[in-house]
Amino acid sequence: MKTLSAVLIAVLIALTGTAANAASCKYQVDTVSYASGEKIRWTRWKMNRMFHTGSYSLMSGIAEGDRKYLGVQLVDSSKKVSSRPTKAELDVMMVIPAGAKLSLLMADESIVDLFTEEDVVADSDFTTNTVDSYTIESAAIIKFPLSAEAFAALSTQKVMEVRVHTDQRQYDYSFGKKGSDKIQEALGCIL
Amino acid sequence: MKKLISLGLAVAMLCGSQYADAKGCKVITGSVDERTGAKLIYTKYDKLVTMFNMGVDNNGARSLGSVSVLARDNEKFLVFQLKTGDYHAMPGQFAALEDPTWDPDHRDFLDMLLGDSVIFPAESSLRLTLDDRSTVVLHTANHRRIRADYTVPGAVPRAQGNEGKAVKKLGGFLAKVLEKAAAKDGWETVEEEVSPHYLVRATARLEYPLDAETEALLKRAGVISARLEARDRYYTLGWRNTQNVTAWSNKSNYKIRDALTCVDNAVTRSKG
Repeated sequence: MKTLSAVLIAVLIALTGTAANAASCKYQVDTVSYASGEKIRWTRWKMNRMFHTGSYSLMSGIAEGDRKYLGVQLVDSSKKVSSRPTKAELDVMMVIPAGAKLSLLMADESIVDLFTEEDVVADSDFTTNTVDSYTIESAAIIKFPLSAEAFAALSTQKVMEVRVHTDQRQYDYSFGKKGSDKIQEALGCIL
Repeated sequence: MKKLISLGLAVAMLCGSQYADAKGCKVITGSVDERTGAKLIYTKYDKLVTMFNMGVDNNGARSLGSVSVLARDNEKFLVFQLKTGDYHAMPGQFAALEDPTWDPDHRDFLDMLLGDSVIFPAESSLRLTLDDRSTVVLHTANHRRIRADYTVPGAVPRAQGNEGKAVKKLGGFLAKVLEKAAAKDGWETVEEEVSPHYLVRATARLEYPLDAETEALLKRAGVISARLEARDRYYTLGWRNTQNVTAWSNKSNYKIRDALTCVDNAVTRSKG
């Protein structure tokens, strides 16, 4: 009887452990591609929310079939203009050209560089509640392909700083002295 | 007795599902195209709601959308009814406030707001984001110039349509919370923020032709948001969620798919 109880308790502990593991991996997208039929998973975006002056970014681990990406959601609402922006101006407000770089400074002071494969034009829109200015907000989702080496490098160390390059400027985010292990967690969910 | 209850339950479930089906699929038939005489079959506009069911912000400048599918001859169209809200500042409006000779009845500007501020040129795009995060882009066939209306600066705009009720309800609740917070902090009243700009509103009905491939895709796919291109700006239908993703409510994700199926069934019935 005692043995049976012990086995039951062990099973329960194992099940609880599995449930906790599964619960820690939450996905924003967990579906199948309509075009290719490949499995697509994007981890939730709330990790690595890095506030900055007028802008912030969020990160996600993305898996599309066998391919792995680091997803960066870049939001910039720091731009203010005095006249109503035209559509042509909105279209070039934030552009991330193919080949644009994302640099990650790791805890051991090594740098991992990732590069985009395609042009990304941010969705830009404006709001105004003040007399003489319009606030423009641009938001883009950029996918940086991860090679096996890059995946391994990002999975083993904390990230201290991040620099995202767009066509006009660069966005820097720091995770402080302790750094962040959120990218590791995200990548662990798309293994 | 048990059998009777089971039978009763089964009938109730059957009736329930038929009712739900009929409720979710409203087709309008019988009208014809005035120009070509072609028969028209279309679904009733279905509102695309966001996760909070909020369409109009406190100042009324958020865009609202409903979707329908139209079948005309052998063609199908995705139809968006878009209620736009957009702020415009009159050129020199604020610089001129101190000038007693300034004429607030600026006819050219107001005419522009009414007749030339909401334009959808032919070939302007509609970008749909699917639930696998891929996108589909459609284009309008016709140029659309929409007659607009405006609210003068400083006026509190009326909420549009049924969505106004939700806003009013939420606004009332929020107002109470804010009033309480203000009272706690020693403030007596909470002033409502009102835009200093002209609020221009219009209702546009935009048709996007569907090719066979896109139609087949949209019959399978969930659509989470839409961005409509106009001459001067984009109108985004959706609400930023906590993940900063612009999306509709889950219930709205399949409204396009359901409308396409609905029209297909109606076309088949009309041929039969």
